[in-house]
Amino acid sequence: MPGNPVEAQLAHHQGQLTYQATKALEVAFGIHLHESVWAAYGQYWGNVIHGNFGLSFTYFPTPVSTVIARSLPWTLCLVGLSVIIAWVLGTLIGIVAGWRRGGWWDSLIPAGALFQGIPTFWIGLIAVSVFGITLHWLPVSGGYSTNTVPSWTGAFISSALEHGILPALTIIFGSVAANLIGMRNMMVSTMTEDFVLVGEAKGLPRKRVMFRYAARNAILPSVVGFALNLGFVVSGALLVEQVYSYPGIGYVLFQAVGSEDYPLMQAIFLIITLTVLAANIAADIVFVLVDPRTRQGAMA
Amino acid sequence: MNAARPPATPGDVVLEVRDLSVDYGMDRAAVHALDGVDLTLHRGELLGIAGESGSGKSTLAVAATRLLRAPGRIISGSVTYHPRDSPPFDVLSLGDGALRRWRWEQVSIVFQAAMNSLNPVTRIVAQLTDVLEVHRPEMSKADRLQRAHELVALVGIPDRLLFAFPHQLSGGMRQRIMIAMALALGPEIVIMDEPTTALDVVVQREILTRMSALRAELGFSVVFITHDLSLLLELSDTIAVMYAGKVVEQAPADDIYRAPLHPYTEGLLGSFPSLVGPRVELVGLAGSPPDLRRVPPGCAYHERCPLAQEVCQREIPPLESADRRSVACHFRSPRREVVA
Amino acid sequence: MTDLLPDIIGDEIDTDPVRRANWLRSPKTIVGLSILGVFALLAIFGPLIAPDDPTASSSAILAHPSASHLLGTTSEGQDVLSELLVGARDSMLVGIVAALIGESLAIVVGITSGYLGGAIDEVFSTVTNIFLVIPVLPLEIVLSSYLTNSGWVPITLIISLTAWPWGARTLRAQTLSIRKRDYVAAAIIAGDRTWRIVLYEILPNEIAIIVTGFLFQILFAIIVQTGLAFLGIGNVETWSWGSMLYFAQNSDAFFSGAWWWYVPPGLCVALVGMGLALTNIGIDEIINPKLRASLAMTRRERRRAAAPVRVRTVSAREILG
Repeated sequence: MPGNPVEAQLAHHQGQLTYQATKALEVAFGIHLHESVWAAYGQYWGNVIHGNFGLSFTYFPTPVSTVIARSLPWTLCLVGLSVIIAWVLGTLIGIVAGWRRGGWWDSLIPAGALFQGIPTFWIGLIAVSVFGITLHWLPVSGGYSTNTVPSWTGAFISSALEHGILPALTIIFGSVAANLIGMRNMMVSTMTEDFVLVGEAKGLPRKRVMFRYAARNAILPSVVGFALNLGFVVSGALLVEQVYSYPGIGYVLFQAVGSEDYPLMQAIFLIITLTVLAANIAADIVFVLVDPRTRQGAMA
Repeated sequence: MNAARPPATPGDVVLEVRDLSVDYGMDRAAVHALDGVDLTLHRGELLGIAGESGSGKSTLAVAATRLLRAPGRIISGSVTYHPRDSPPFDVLSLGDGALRRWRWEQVSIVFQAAMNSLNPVTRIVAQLTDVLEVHRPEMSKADRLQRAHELVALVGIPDRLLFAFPHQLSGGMRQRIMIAMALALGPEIVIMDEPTTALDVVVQREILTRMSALRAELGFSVVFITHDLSLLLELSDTIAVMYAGKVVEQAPADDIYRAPLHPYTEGLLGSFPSLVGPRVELVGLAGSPPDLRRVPPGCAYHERCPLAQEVCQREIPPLESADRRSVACHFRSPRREVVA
Repeated sequence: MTDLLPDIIGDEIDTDPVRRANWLRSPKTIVGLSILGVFALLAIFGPLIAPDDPTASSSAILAHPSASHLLGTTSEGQDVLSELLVGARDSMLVGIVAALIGESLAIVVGITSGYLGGAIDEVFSTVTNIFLVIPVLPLEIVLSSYLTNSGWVPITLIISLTAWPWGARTLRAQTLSIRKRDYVAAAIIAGDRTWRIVLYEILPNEIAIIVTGFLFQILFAIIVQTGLAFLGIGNVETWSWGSMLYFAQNSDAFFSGAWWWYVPPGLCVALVGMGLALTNIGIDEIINPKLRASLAMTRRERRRAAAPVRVRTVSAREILG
């Protein structure tokens, strides 16, 4: 892989490191050993298990784990909340749109199609220019204003919330359409099932049939999809974070790639992959919980 | 014929369908599923409706209960329901609230092959008691559970299965649950659309026997829809035969069997062999039912009818009734006079 | 109950061989395909009809849209419209080629895996799952950082590498279910060769999924490519809609309020995306009979159906006394 971190540091300090400093750097980066790739790989895993991801090149000498610990929460909060809101909103509207087929509700489909095609980050760009620059309503850069410090104070929290509004709205706008259309189509398809007709035939109130008969069945793929989506929380917001210079893990990853900061990149990749795997497992569990047909054992 | 059938005691009229017409779609593409259907159901009676696929018998059931789905539309007609203690009314003009109240309390429906008629994600007990929750709000939870136990006992399903999910039961059991569900509020009429078609004959026999017993005990009317005329001959008090969206004959089961009037009915009867008696050549019915988008003028059956004459191509024979029998044919009359 | 419709209407719904041509009759599909057609033409002829050379800078810096520059100019005086038209080719090309490769991969992996089962299925599924789990954008960023300005091909390959797993999984599931059908069993017993069965029995039934998968992959590829270009990755020498956004952001077009620079490229992506999504939805509505049944009523029909048969409504009190 391209790039020697020591040389990068040399460039950083404009070649003014003493010989000892260079050697020390080599030791710190573990390059001095000139081990085989496999040995180095094995040692890496050994370190990881101890929570030691090495030192970041970009933010040298900050340990990678610190860098990640600093930025991960921002992403988790922003993207996590946005994905949840987008899912709830899209699913609810989708349920009603599917139930009340016809007329105005059906026009949500082409609208949704348009939204599906819009690149989320472009929405962000537009939002930045309209709300941030032209209208000056909301801040458009960073996770919090520069005159506060990360802490659990009211000032910081309100500043963080303020800075989070536009990025969150951007993500929500970008993801709501897919949820909506998916749920609506599932509803329409479920409503042709016999048991929904039976529900109506039983003289049950409309809302009850809509929610407990139709939606309860139609929502199954949505729920699983949601669990899977959560897995992509960490990586999905990269572009949005870039647009808003939001200090999340996507932003950090991008900087890391730019400066060939391998320890950081590796660690972030690991975290992302673990998150996705965890989400997949969670999705499987959720599916079993939610759909009784998957449970074992016939009683008859 | 076996004696699982209680003696026919035609009470007063409980449901009258008059001139009911249903189209699927519109204008030139419209499929005329029902064309001026007339039908009468008496209290405590088991009315069988027989006909081929596409004859409109299932459409009749959903239209009469206003469960018709898009693109189906009722274009004309009335469905008059006669409650025991109040004046009759037209089901088709009920407002939403009244319709919901009427549903399941007065008329319930059992669909074909309960494969999909039960909500797959809810337990059986919940599906039995939700009608009670809605229609009998004064019942307590314990009462409802009690009633659920009673209902499954009625159809011979063990108690423990109350808390199972539908996919854990066999097809026959699910159908029995559907029947139990249909009886939950003690309705006057139970409509059954091909309830046993997808089940094997042994299970079919069990279910039908049980149903007859329930009828004898609780006294509700049944509308039994099926393509199997031989089954209806055993089961029904009265049989209505449908063809191409119209009722072509209605009469007590015995009369249908011994002396069918409409040529189509004759054809149907000749289509299945009798277990006893000399071997006869099966006649069957030539041709196939008409495309309901382009129903031939005049009598819909004339293209396959051995009696067809010129008048059959021009005029639609009206359904004439006399003396508990009706028939729609130019050459047959319910009064058994010889016509032309 | 759900069989009611086909019984009455006859062959129209499921077995009509002309049905596939019905794709084209849905208004959504028509609109969608028209939009795509326009952009395809732009992609092919764009550079030829561009008024100016997009790299030619002029003295008209950040000029508003005017007669001489229909979409204004950039901070280096370059004509935005020309950039847009020339960039269309790159964006669309990457999108379509990446989708072609991706969908072909998906077809091969998905159908083989679903049909053959066994060890091959295990291996392919594992590979598919691995690719599914890999986060797309970060991977592409990393892979692209190895590239220097070497044209659109490497980016296309990288994108197609991350696009195929979804299609493969869907096709595998569908193949598994088709394989159980009677006509496939009949073909196997009759001794048909495997490739014939796949080609003639299985593939035709999956055409719709393949087409919608293909269109989705184009959408995915274009959005990813635009995103990557926006980040400054890939080839910033060639024009694409994404690279326009990159330059726009780097020249602080937002602070200058030069909306004509950054709105059109994103809008183009959005429109292409909308065309693809609409076409997909249109196709989906035609093939899925359950969605179709609701289509059968036009607004006119619905209004007529909603009109009560009787004028007088019976209230609950009248019935229950």
